[in-house]
Amino acid sequence: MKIQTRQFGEVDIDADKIINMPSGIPGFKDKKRYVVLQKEETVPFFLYQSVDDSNLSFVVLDPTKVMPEYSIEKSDFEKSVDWAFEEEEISCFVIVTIPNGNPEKMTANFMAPLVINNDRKQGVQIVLQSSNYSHKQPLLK
Amino acid sequence: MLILTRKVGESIVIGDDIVIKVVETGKNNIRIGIDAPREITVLRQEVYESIQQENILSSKGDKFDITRAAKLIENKESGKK
Repeated sequence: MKIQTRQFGEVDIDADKIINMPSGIPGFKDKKRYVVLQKEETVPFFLYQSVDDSNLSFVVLDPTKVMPEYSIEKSDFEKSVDWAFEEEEISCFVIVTIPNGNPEKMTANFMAPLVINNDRKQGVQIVLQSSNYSHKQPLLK
Repeated sequence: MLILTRKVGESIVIGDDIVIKVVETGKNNIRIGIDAPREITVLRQEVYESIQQENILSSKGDKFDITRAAKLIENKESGKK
């Protein structure tokens, strides 16, 4: 199916790649369906694009790309979801903020990663409440 | 806003399955225990607001800046090797 996106224009997506976020994302509670997009010129970033709102997308990154030791524990989110962690494939992204005109000041939110269950096609933004990770960690330090 | 007075050890119930209990009181703070179903997210308000704010800022990214940021990250990573 084809969707319109502000960043990448018209994009053809696989309907079975759509990720459902039953609780939405804080700030955008009513947007529940997303796809992960990538273009060569924006590697290593991905775009977490709303299927229902062409203007809504988040820049996301595999956290281990910049912080190899970053990890989340089952206990961090077993209170939020009832996934079968041993059997299901889970991906993790951090949401990146790139200030307009100042990309060198980009930060990522390591405190509240986006976690996606690839088997269930379900996503949730969890908060690592007991961690020391920053929600505004500079990426170029 | 509904305002109720409670003693230490007493609780209030919201709906069928959320219980909020006053655990301990200090001079300027109180400790609260919360029982809620897993689909209910419980966060300190300032934490929730900072995450919401970051999400809103991230959604305003511009493709030109994303491309530049991508190059900056790749340069940094290749500089490490």
